[in-house]
Amino acid sequence: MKLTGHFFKILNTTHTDSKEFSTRLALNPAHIVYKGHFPGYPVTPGVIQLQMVHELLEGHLSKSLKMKNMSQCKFLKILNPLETSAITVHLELVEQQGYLSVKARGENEADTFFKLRANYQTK
Amino acid sequence: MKISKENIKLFIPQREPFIMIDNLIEVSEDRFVTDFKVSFDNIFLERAVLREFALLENIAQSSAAGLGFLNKDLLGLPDGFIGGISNLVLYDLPRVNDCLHTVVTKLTQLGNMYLLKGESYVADKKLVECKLKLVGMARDSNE
Repeated sequence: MKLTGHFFKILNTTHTDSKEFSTRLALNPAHIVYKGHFPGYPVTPGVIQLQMVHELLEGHLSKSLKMKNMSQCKFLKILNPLETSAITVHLELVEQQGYLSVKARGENEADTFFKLRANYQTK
Repeated sequence: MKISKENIKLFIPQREPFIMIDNLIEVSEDRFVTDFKVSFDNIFLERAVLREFALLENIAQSSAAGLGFLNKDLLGLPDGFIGGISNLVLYDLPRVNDCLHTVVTKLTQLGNMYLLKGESYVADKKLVECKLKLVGMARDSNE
């Protein structure tokens, strides 16, 4: 299941530099994931928020990644696509020896929905 | 067997296609064990490999099912959500038709907030481990 273009659509991307960018994306409340999470009460699953970050990174780098480890992620606020139709995901990347170290957060106006720190490897 | 696949929906709020556990096999006060066969129609499959996101959801739902079973006498079972994940290490990913065994250990509980450790295996091979913070949520307060 690819989320890009289905679960969410990219509205625009702003590059601060090659190591930092922000993507504004719109959520699709009609997506099949929301049928099960939860019926009549759509909540964006935490693991789907992780996959959104994953696909934005892959799109930025134009290569497939796998997560190696994640020291921490926090889901700070319920992300209901009927209440919050679009969010901005900020990503910072640092190339380490043999892997990629990433900091990400998802927010909209004053709300922060998630924050994470994880390391990824090229597949 | 504590809860079979047919009854698991009585204990977790997720519904198809987002159910990522089958049976709750063992439950004690601080340890839950579930299984999950990776079905060909799982939404997290990619070229016959189950993505890491499904493994994390499996650990979260294993936790929710265990906690749901322990609290089954309480009326109005609350929904829960993942408050955080830490110390996650991924070793490998399962393939279609693999049967996942997941062991969740309850580390601490503060009111409706639980800190749990989750580990998933196929046969004896560990695929993933992490710590998970689950927050119980009364649905009414969020509507």
